[in-house]
Amino acid sequence: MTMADPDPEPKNAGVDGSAAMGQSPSTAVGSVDILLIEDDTQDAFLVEELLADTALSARITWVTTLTEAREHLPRFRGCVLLDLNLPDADGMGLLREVLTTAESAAVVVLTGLNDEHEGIAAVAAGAQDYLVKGQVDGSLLARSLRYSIERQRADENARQLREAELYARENMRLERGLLPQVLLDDSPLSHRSFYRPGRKRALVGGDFFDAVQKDGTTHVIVGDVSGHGPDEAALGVSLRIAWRALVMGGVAEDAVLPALEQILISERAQEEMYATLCQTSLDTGSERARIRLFGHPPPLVLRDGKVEEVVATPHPPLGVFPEGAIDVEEFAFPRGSTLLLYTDGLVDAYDGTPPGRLGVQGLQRLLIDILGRGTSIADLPEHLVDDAERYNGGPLQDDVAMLLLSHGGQR
Amino acid sequence: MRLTATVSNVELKISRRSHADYAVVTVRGEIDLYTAPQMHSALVDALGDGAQRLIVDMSRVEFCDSTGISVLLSAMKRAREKDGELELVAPKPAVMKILEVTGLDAVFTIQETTDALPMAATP
Repeated sequence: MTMADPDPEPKNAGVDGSAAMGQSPSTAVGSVDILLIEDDTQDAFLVEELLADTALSARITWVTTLTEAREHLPRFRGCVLLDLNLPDADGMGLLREVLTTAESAAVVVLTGLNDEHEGIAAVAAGAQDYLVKGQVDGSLLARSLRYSIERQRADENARQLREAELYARENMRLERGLLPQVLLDDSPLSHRSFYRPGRKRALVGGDFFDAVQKDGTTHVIVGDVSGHGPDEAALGVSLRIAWRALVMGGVAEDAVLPALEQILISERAQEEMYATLCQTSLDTGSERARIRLFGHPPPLVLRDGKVEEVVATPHPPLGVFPEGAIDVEEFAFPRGSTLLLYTDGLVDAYDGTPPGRLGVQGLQRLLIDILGRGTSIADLPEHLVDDAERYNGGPLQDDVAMLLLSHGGQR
Repeated sequence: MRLTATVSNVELKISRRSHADYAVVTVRGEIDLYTAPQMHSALVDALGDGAQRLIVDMSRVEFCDSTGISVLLSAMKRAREKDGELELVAPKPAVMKILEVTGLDAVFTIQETTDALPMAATP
């Protein structure tokens, strides 16, 4: 390289457009970082001088080779002004490396008077703009830089939006698998289900529920795979479908959950994944239901404005220490009452000022209040979550799934 | 004996005293979705540094959600794989409640008071 400047380091020219500091241009790009990759000293000085005369406040870093530029490109977020004829690289190969290495930067190509076709090809390849040397004045250069950065930002936003959409669609698919249409056609139970994702929306949780009426018994589950993320959600989907298959396949009630635990153990991605689960089973005609509880908060029975927690022995979550069939317990589930099954996102909400949490007692308090206001079972979940969010001081951290089952029709 | 302290988050503070075959990990704050990964690495580090007996002082933990419980469970499994043990010391009622609901109060070794903590070697 031929240099008039004795300083061999990349040059941070203090071209602040000081002539125009008072009249800040009304554009989103106030000050611009420019990485000038140009081996011709005169051209480089020309760029600096042109910019000095404009309203654009520019911080220029000047390098003369691709090798030097590589040190700056990966983190660079401004505009790269690129000469396509460098001592160590040229043409489209050079452009491609700059475009892929400086993903978040805008790239404007500088071409010679006789190489304008190169500029057109560069824009087709992904550069934001091209400028023909010798045909550029200060205002054209400044405008090109500003527009290029704006265009690059718009492209970046569009890319992020596309990613977010893909993510949302993926989550929707998982949620459909976790929260199905229940099968309660001939059941004495009618249902109302509810799901609201937590504050970390991007990470779908592993909350799931299902209800199936088979051979005169209605079985209901609600569960939660420990942790957050696609693996956990996918395991939740597997468990929910496996449970439905076991029940619909006519597997004896006592054998369903031990089999489900075996499936969990064989399907989980890491040994540390487990699932909490609550299953209740009600024979048609009976007013007593059976309950099996694995690390999950027990359901609540709502009746005549009163709210009671079902008493049942808690067993460790499925997948922790497989213990085979457990003793089943019974509870009263009379006609006219409603069973509320839920996941712990609800009770983990703050109860006013931290660190106090709502807990089951807080949940009961909210429910009694909501029922006291004459709220119907159909509207109860929204009211409950809204109230919990108000006490929490904002959206709940974790996902909330709820399943309400009314015995003998809703009241 | 080595003294290591990590303070990375307003919500959870973790410090560790490591001895030859056991480590005392003191946790302060709330263990939830956000802070559980921090506790996970602290417990894994303690086990990786050779502690067989992992004693977790829970006396200043205000809250522990299912993610936190999951971290404790996985640390316990890792400890047992090395013929070691994980002990929870003096969990507050709020934390004890979730251990009971999850049926894990019988699974973890729980010491009711901090008297169970080994005496710190006095200088």
